[in-house]
Amino acid sequence: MSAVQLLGIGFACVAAGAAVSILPLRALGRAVTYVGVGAGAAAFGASAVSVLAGQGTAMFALSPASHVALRLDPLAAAFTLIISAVAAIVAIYALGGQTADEAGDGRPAARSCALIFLASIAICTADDILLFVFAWELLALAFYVAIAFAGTDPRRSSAAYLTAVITHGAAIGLIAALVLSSRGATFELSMALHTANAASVVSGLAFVLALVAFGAKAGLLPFPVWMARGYTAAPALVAALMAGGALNVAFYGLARFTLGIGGNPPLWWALTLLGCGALAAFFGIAWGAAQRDIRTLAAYSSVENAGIVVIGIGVAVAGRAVHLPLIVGVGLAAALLHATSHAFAKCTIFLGCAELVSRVGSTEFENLGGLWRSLRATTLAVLVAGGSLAALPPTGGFAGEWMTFEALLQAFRTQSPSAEISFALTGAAVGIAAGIAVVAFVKVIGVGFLGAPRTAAARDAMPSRSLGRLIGLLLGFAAVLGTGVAAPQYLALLRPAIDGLSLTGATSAILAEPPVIQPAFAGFSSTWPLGLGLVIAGFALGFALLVALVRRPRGHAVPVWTSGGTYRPWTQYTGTGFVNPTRVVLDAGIRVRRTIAVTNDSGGTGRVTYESETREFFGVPFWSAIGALFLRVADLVRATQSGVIAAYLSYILIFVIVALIAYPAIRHW
Amino acid sequence: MTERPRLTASEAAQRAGAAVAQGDGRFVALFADTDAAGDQLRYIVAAGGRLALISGVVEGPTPSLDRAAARWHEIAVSEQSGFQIAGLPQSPSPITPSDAEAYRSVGSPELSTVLYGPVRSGISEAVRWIIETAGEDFVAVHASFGFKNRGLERRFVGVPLESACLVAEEVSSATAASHASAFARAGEDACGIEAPVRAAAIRAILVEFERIHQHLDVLGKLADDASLSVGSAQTFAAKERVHRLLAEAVGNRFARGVITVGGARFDAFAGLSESCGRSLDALEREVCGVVDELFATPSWIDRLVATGRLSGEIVRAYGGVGPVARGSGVDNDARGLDGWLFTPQEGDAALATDGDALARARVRRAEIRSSFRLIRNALDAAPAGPHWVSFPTGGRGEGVARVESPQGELVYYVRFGAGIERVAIRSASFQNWPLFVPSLAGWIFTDFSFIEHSFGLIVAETDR
Amino acid sequence: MSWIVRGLRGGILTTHYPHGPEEMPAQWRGVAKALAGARAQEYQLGAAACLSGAIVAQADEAHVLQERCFQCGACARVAPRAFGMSNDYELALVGADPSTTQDRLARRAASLGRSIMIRHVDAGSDFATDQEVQALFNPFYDINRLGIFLTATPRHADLLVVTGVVTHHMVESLKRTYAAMPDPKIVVAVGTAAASGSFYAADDVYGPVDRVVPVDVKVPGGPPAPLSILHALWVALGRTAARARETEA
Repeated sequence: MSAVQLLGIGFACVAAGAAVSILPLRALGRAVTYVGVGAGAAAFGASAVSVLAGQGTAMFALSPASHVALRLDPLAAAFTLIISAVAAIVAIYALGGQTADEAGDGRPAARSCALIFLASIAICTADDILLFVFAWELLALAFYVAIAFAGTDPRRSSAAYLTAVITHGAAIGLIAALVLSSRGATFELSMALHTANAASVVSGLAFVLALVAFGAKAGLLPFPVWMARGYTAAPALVAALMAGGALNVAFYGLARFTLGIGGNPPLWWALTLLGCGALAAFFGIAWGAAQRDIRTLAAYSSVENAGIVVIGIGVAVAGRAVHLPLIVGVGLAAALLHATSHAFAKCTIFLGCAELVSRVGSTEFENLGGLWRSLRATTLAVLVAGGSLAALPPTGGFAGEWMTFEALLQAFRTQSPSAEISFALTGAAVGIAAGIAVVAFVKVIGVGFLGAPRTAAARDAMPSRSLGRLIGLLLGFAAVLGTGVAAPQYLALLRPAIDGLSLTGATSAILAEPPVIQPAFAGFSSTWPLGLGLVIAGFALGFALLVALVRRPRGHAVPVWTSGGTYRPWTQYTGTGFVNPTRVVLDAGIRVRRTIAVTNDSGGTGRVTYESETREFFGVPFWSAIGALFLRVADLVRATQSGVIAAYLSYILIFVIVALIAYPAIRHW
Repeated sequence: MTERPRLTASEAAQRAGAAVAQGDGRFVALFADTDAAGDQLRYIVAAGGRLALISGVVEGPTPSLDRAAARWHEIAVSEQSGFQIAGLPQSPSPITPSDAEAYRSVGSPELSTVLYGPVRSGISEAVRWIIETAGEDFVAVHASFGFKNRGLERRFVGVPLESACLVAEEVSSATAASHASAFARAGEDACGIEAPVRAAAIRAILVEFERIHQHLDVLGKLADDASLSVGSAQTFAAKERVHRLLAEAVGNRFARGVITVGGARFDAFAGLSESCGRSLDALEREVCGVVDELFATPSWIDRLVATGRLSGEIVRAYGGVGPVARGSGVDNDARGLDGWLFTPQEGDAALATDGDALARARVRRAEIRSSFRLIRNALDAAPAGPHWVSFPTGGRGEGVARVESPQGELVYYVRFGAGIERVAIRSASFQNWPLFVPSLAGWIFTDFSFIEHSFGLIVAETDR
Repeated sequence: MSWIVRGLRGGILTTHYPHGPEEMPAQWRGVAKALAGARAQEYQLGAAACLSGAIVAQADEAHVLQERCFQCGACARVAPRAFGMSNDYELALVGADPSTTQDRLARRAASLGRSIMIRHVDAGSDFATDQEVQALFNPFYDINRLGIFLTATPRHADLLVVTGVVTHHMVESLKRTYAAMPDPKIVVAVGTAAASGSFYAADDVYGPVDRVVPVDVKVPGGPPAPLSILHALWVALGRTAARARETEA
């Protein structure tokens, strides 16, 4: 079966699933939808693997006029594989039963999942500019639907509005970018990019606009605030697909644009990407650490990881700019590896959150605690996912970040002072971000799962008996670890993508000395993720053995020591308390506003209320103002909708005249 | 010194309130008593430089004085005696330990609550602090005292006056001389006698030595908090020298068993004279040298500057006494009042205005210097005469007296008939502890021990 | 810099005790002791003067319950021919036969090696006893040279030092502290109030420390001098025997 046929099957399955969810079939309809998603994921995955395994680029065009042209080249296949794998895990988890935060009977959430998946794959495989834009808008619409209708969060409508304002607004940049880059009179995306000249001013403008559009999707500054609100308001299950799957289209778009464009991009493209990535990495996790809800923290962690992937792409672009193909390869390998590991880790952590919502009713730190005894599978899954997001070996996050650091360390080879400085600064930002990420995820595990339960709901939480959920979590756990320990094998799979864009045997250079991976240049550095994993496991096992074998005197259990009093669960660290020192140090960036109100202060003990909120740069007030601006413009434009036919006819006349005058001018441009 | 028209408790409260409202008026103490006339509430106020005792018979709820200085007293009295005082705020008792949950006052799940005590780190007294924090700062702090309540006020009942000073010393043995002097003077006031001058000199010397070793204890603990190990070691070594001098002079390192009602149990003046003649100069050089050295250590000063600031207004509102009050510019030294001999001269007044921990430490340094001067004055005066005078036994009497203990003004009330019937103790620590929580505002955990030690208060005499 | 100069000029202040002799000043009051050959009335007078009931006077003799004596000297003052104050500072009491007790304590402390961690609990002290325990760490006594250190957590503690009579509110805390200490653990009750309840009224306090946790060594005093406490710690570690003396009747 050819890749194209598999693609077709995939689209058919997912579309059928989406269609079924419209029928009033309740739980059955929901299940069928997810089966469709799962089957589609399998088909897409097989298609991508077949392309990567050597079948070469698959193409399909319905007819020139229909704007339905699909092209699955190795880069697209890599991202298709990632998104499909995530979708498969989500589908399997979802088949285990409806989670508590899905609205209604779960069909709106299922429909959203199917639409998101469909749109994401369409974006990755689209070879027609209009189809690309259409798929992008469909994804934005699917996000809106997911946030506004699929969940039960009371703040979902404002979150959805914010999402719409930012992602739709940024999509304008996308359209403009693609128009500007289509020098040739063709709607074919790959051809349009290929014939553009990267060094020209127009291309530069297009790059900035594309960065705006894709950056808004990825969560680069100044856009991330919609992710925090949106991912928290959507049902955790759908958020897993959004953060783990759909996020990757932004990386795909950036990679396609900057590396698929004809000619060599100028160095400032790379430096801009590095700068944006570094800012996103640092501020993303700084704000994330201070959040009160695991899902919001995970959303900001996505911003951080998006920054790191963008840094990888930036290094690749720098490699193009200074004519060093091996650096292109290293950068791209880092970006792909990190994107994959982040996808699985984010998916797993959101599935863990879905479990928490179902079993405990909340993902806010103040309502959790002491869950490691009762919800073992969830704890393990979140532990490994968190470890990956904090870049601890032997998870995939470690491999990806390690590769990114190594890519940045190749700065000296670029022979360009500006590149070297920016590589260095970016490396520093990533380093700090990695440190803060550890704090953030220690908070997630420590405050959320360890210790004693803080509420009755946490105390009484029982694990779910659903096989689907267990398998879903297990797959996520395995995928996170697998990306790490099997990083060499994975990179070998991605060889066509990496080599195809770097135009050199970079993958062979990376995998030159199995079993370690190295940053393409021999003798520089290397790491063996599987070996690290074995060593860590070995130490753990050895220690456990030692403890078991050494004869210890019989001890007796006594209560926790609390200065001579009895233990109370409310003396535990709260999430805010734990992260307070970090917050104080990063005060200039995190900018916490605290309101302490004392009532009835008669010198005795009055009631005190305490509230804190993090104010991000370009936060909700900023975007609300932009949204208000849009609305005001819409109000103005509405004046043209007078309802008078004569007015409309004159509009048409004016437009025709303008077009007749302008067309020759544009044509010769 | 005492007024005894037949008042009701409400009238007494009114009079006390009026006295306190005057310019130089200050609330001192409130306690419950039951005598032949019935249940009584006794107010002690300081007005015109003298202590006034206003008692009233309890008839129904008594209105609260509605003053910060009186609040703990009113809560303590209404809780322990059952006499109702109207208008008190609802709060968990600050003087009897309650369940920790009752103290939490912040309605926010973002804050952790730290329960610190009663078994705290190092060698500390048993008291529990309930600290609500967002991580490192103090959003709300509550005190839970009463862990060391040993019923000592009740223990006095029935003890013969000649032995009762030993019970007073046990209230807070670190400041045994102050407690014994205050009780002895209250007893003498009740009997209508006055201790001979030689005994007054003994008391003055012992109280000043006590001031020196307790202030050295505070400064040593502050040095320890700042991890100034050498400074702390030298300061505690200086304190040790003071104790050794006292052991040599009067037979006990804390001068227990010397002072009694009527004077002193033996002619301690001779022993003091001899020991001081030998070692006082060297001791003074050593002590003042070490203290000056501390104040010349910038790293130590840095930790104390601006820490735990208390304004003069809040100190006055809470009726603060002692070095805590003097550090904020409020002076109510009990020496120089009520016939206490060997009082500080005008220029000796140790007063600072910054109100921070450094100011309180400076006050203590000045007081140490001044104490040495006073000791020398007393030794040089060498009053001749008996060291004890007998007092009439039998008959009724009640007396109030105060002494400037190292923590501040310490007040004793004694009433006896056939034997001692009631003793009430208002220690400086009890009066000053309510100032502690306001002084923490805006500081973080690491400053807690600095501020606590800079107050230098004693829990044993608070809980009694 | 000047701290260093001051320290060098001051010389070595630390005592050699317990590895060398040491003395308290001649006038320092240790515990009371009954003198032989006085008349019965004098013994009765002395017993009546004792606030804590430490003196048991029968006919022509009396003996002092040392764990109840808080060194006030009242008995010696009212009946100087019947009672005197000894100058001895080695006052540790171990109850049963001192020599076998030393073996038992030495065996228990053997596994502690040369490093002992003390956890102090104030069960209701008069504050001076706490200051005397604190004084053990000053340069004159410096118990760190003997390997004895202070710890904040009972989980690391080997030796529990309790000062003060146990008040009602401190009973549970003392029990919890004791329970939180790992074996082997040793308990020393410092001060007359901790050792016997001194003159505290039975209703107002819970009682002496041995009513709450098992006590190995008691050292009476009002407050006990640091040398007495140091001797008691040395006895508690089995390094020396408590002197044979009259204890509980």
